[in-house]
Amino acid sequence: MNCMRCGAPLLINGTCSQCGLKEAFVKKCIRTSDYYYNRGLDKAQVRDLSGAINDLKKALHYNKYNIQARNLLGLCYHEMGEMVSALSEWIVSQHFKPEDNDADDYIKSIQHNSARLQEVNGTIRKYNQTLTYLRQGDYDLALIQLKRVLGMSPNFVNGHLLLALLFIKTDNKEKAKKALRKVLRIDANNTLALKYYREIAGNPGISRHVENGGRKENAAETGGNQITPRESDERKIKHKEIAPSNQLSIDQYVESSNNKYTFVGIVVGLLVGIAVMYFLFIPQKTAELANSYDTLKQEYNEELSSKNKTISGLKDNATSLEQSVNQLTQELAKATGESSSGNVFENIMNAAKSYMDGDETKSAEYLTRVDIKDVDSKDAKKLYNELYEKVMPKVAAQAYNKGYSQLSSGNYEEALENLTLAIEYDETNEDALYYLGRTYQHMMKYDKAKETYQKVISKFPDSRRARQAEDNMAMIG
Amino acid sequence: MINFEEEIKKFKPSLEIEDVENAVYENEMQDIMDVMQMMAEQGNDNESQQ
Repeated sequence: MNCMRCGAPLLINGTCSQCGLKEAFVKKCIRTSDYYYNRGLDKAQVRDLSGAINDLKKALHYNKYNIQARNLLGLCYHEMGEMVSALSEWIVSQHFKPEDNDADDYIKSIQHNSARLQEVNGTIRKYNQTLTYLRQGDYDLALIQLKRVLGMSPNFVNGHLLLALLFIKTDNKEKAKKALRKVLRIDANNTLALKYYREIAGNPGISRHVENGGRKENAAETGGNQITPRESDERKIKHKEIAPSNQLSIDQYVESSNNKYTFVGIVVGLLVGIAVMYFLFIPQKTAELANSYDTLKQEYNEELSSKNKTISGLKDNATSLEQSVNQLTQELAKATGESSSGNVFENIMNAAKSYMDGDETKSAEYLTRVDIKDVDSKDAKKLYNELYEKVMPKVAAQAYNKGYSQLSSGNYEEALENLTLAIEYDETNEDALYYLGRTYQHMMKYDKAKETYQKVISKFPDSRRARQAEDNMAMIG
Repeated sequence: MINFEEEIKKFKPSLEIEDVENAVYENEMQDIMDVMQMMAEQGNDNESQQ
């Protein structure tokens, strides 16, 4: 046999070899501890959290290793908003039983939710600040702070009690009752809440009937007293089943009405703000914007019209300058003898040189480039005319003869070229013009042929070539 | 009649999360069996001294 407390072997007289305690005494302590644990469990189930805490503390007085009792004690603290006390119990529990312990999950659920942890800490600080305000007599500040606390932690029993006390102090009994009802919903047999309620309601029994809604808050006591330590071992099964729901029970409670009013207040405030913006601020701003827009538009139009005036003036200047430039260019060209085909004097000089070299064809080519109307120089005109008279008829006759023979031999392309040159050199050569039409006709370029025949008819109307041209045109159709 | 000032004194400031460590150390860790064990040890010591 081993000791139930430390696990060391028992001596023959029933005493533990390690801790020196008698086996019967250890058993008695453990059973008593279990008995109080079961009482605490029963009370916790009917939401008599204060009673449960008392019993669970007794259970731990008899056996500090009663893990179930310690975990349940932590849960009761947690439910009443006493987070630090709850954590303290669970940490000790985890220390005594590191493995397969529900306390591990409880601690993790808080530690892993850093936002919740911060909120809890904030709540505690605000609550402590509230106490300071109350002691200093700043009741209004205390009330505001306390409402914030309860908004963040609706199950915080001490907060509700303090709020009730504050309302009692300011003679607001209805609100005090409301706060006390909330306390009794969380902790059905809270001594302070019952005491305050009795004071303001004047009826000691009223709290139980109003708040518990038929809940039998004394069931634990009446039933619990009949349980013997032996029976308690058999009943020690309930806590594990209800523990998780207790842990999550914070979320089951409806937020306090203070929160609702705060929310409604915020919504109403927002609506009023939006309405003020809509009816006062926005129209004023719109009018200001419209005014500034009109001013800007006017300024822009004025600027635009002045720019347009400037542009049109500049355009006029540009046109007159362009005209001046053209005029000056023409004058300069006349003065220097420049034309589209190059320098007039140069062409005349080249024509004379080619003539002297015996190349009359080249000379004629240079002469055709000269527009004699552009030349003011009399000497140049004289030289041009002399050359023209000597060269052109000769070269035109050569070109005509060559073209005619090429036409006769069926060499139309070359004939076309030479006949065109012959007409260029001598516009009065009606034969050259007629045979140019014939060349087109042979090349089956009938439109060009008709056009050329028409020139023959119009330039030399009474000639033989004109009649032939008419016959040919009739033949082409 | 409730005495506001007296009642306020009953409310103690809550421990903050940072104070959990202190709360754990201050937790009453002795049970009856510890007390009895201590008494038994003292008794044994006295006997041995005598």
